[in-house]
Amino acid sequence: MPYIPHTNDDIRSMLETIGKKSIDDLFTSIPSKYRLKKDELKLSTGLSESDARNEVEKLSDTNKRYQPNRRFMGAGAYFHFIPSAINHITMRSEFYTAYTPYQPEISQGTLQAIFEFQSMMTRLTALEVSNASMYDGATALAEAVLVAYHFKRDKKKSVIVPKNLHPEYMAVLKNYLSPFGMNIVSVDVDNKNGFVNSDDVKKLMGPDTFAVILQSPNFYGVIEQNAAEIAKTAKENDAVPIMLTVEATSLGMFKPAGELGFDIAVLEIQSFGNPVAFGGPHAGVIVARKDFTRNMPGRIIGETKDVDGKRAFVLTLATREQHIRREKATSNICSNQALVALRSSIYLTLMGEDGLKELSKANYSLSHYAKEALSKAGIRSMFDGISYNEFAVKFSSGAVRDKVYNGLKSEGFLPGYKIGEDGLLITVTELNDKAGIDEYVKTAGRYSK
Amino acid sequence: MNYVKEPLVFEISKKGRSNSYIKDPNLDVKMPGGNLLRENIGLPSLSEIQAVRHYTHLSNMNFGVDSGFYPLGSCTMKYNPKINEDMANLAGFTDVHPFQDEDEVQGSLKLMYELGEALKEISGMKGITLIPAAGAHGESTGIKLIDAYHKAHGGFRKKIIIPDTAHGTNPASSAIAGHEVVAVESKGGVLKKEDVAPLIDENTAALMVTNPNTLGLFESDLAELAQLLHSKGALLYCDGANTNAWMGQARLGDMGVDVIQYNLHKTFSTPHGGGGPGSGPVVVSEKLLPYLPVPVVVKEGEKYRLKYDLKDSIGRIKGFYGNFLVYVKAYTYILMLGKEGVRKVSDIAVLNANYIKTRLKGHYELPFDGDNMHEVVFSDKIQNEYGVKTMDIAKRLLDYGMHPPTVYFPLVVHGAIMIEPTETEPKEELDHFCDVMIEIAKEAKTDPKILHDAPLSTPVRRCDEVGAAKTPVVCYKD
Repeated sequence: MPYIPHTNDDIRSMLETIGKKSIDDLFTSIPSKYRLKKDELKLSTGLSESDARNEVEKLSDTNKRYQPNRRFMGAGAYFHFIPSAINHITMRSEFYTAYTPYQPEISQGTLQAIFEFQSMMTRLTALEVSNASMYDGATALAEAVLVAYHFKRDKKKSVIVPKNLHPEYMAVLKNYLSPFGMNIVSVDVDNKNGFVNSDDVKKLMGPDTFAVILQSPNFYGVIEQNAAEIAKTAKENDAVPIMLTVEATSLGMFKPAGELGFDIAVLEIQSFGNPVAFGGPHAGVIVARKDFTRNMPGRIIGETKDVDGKRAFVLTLATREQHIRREKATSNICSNQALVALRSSIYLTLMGEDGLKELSKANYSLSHYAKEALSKAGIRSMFDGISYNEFAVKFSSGAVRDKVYNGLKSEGFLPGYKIGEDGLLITVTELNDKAGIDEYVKTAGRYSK
Repeated sequence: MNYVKEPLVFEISKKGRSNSYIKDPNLDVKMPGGNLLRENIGLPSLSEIQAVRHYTHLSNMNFGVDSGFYPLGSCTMKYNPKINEDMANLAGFTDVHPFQDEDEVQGSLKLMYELGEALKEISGMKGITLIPAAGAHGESTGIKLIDAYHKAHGGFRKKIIIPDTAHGTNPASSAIAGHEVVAVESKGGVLKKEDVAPLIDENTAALMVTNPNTLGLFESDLAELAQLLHSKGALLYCDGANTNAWMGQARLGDMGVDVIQYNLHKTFSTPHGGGGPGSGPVVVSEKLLPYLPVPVVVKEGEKYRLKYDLKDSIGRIKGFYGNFLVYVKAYTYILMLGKEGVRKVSDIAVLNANYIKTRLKGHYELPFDGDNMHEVVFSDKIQNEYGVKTMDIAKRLLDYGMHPPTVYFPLVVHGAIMIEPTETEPKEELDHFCDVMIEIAKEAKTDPKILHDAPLSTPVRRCDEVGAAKTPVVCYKD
């Protein structure tokens, strides 16, 4: 039997020690009418490792995998270059076969790596305290809104949410907030530019508003140019401004949440060295000003000393968490996405300060090159606002959009993400190159005629 | 664990060092206006070799299942088969976008569908969502399903009954969904119908039990409890974190359970990754089918689809479709085990726990001596006489090269030592562990100081956790 080391002799002698005749005698606390017979489960019989490998590889081969420079889809999950060293390090089994670091003396590897991760997150966002990761960006955003809600002592019930928020994030937010009887107030998007105007936020702000969310780059890839003013408006009205960034590599060039006056930043960190992987595992993280430290959900690693005075790292502020507070906890998160956070940490270490900046610029340049080339080919952007590495285009009709989409696909391109009746969200990263973009534009142009 | 000190990555950094992974595309594109852009980030700058060594040194200060025995109770730290990792690294899985058209991702969808069918069959339940990212996320999802059911059948019910032997996340999951938690004591270690009955009324949403409970005991009255709850319109939630004890032996669905959340990172051999990613699929009874979160994977003819148009669904609980690569690992494991292996797992998991129980009984106090399943809970009562506490025993185990059991949990046992060996540990390893535990029990009598001072051989020794919480330092400052 795979992964079970017992010989028949072992089993016999162990039963003898225990004083039972058979293994079945160990299961007498399960009422006999519910006991299954051997082989009663309708599962197939076990496979050898080579047969199992064949079965699973067959499934993986059934999926369509596009050439890296022909992928133009993003919309919340981004294809980026992943340095080889990341897999080699995370596959060290001292990392991936360990549990949550409850015993700090033999978990300094995980603990220090996550402490470094938290430090990198605070620097990226220009804020002061980061947690150790959440399930993904969408659930992290929802939990961040609850942080703001509890920070304002559960007294106010309205949260302002922009209409250019990623639709799946919006759906998750609604689900998480549903037990609390909150109002989700939608703020409009500037039709021409694709970003939110601060006057529109001001109009909706009221004494019941406890938080204002902004996503930048937003779902359409546009940078929120009025972010600083919106954060200021929120604070003047006793609400917590929350900045969401789903494409985290944009932080290599654009001003971070902390500099723009936001109290909380929520990041989806998939872009930092993690494959898109059909949607997961990815990871989210909440970073905030230090006033929010004791309201933060999830694990936090802190620095301390051991009995010999040596620097050490431990899980800290555990009194916030579910296993101590039980029904008084404000979040139930326990397992997080630690290995994804580790990958992100390694990624940022390998890229380094200059590398991340170069990467952001490459994304910006390539995507703007594509945007202009498409425009010259008659395929126009939906919005004039400055974008990062993705942008929405609009076709003359849904039929034309679909013709272009299917045409691109038939010529080996992953064309982008369909939005609305006649739009397409196109993403260009450093994995794309000039030659691939030129061909994409030419092909799209041909099918749009 | 031969490496004992490593500077922070920021302390190794030197400005200007770069690995040049990214080439300038040399396009004539102007950068946007100045007030949108940032200056310094403050990231470290290391060469690749320095980074690789840094993380290798960190890994040397860690302990995983591959390093040695890891009997962490209720965490099911079994061996993580290497083929699982290879399968999850296949480019056909890692390089596929969640928004690709369904006809391009049939392999992924089929894998999700087949994994779901296997998990339904093992539990005897009728429907499944794989999406929850962890056990606690599965719990929240299960409770939302229960709430949706009650809303459609007479209105929200406030109370959730939770025994003192439940997992710590259970009360938190209930409370954040707006429920009042009603505690019930498990006299004698298991729930009795007569203790629960008086607590159930028309405002009771559900009973939430962990089965086997955190004492390692099977809730034998489960079917009767289900009947009782159902007769009052309430539902039965079962935390399935301890599925390793019953899979292949019985099906909780046959006993009338309405919701179970699995932990693929426990029962189905996917690694814990130092805290995640996990995966917490939720299986449900017929009653709860209409409320499952979207999307649901369905099979239509020979095609697999993601179904979104479920009018009574609780909605979306996470972006995309959950921790997909974790599914690949669990699916590979189930293929390898097959039906005979699934049962053998629980056979041997229970045998191993009972073997440890028999060998350590007398050396350590056993507060609830029932019919143990996959884990056993001792206490430090005998050792208290010599001034030795559970924490001392745990730390001394580190000096013997083993990971300690779960300590101070469950809360119903003072100074609990909760041991779960799992089925993948050979008899020799169990014997070695028991010998060491017996030796430590002797040391407690003869040389308690060595236990108070332990550990001596680890990269760091006991840490000042109180100080860490009092003045939190949670990120590096230059």
